[in-house]
Amino acid sequence: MANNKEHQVKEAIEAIHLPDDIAARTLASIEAKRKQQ
Amino acid sequence: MNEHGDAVWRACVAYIPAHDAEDVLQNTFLKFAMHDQAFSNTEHEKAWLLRVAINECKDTLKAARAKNISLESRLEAYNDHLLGIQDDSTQTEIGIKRILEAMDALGDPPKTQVYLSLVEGYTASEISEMTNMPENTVYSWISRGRKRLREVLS
Repeated sequence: MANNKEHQVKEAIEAIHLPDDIAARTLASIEAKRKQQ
Repeated sequence: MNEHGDAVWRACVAYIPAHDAEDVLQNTFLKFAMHDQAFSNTEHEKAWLLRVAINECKDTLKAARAKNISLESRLEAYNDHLLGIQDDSTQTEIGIKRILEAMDALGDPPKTQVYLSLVEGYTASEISEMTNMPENTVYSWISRGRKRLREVLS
């Protein structure tokens, strides 16, 4: 039972993925900062 | 970003609202891009990224508290799209909102120690290095935190 609850916690959090739009904005932001330097 | 983006994003949204999590994610990967010392392997990279991201999340929470801005309502605004949950088949019986509320209810410590142990699979020794906390203390927090988490979710 205990392991089942913990397994569900791990599984639920692992279902979270970085959305593509946020990844794209992050890469663009890093690229912009690099160009500034 | 392809390799560790998901892990860093999960850690961020486990602490703060998605719109703040995006800022932390950007700052974390910017620091990573500007980091001038070599990493020994990808696990070393991941541990570094998670440590930086979690510390930035905690700083964001502290700043919000100092300004008397409540982040408590963040879970109300959560939805699968914001969290990046793409596949309904991975939904668990308990539900992500309740799980994140339960993690918040632990306080910190032991939230960080439980998160790194349970979700990312780090050992007490590794978490000790990542959090600058003695290994025995980490072990104790993990044990108590996981017990408390099971109680909260029962």
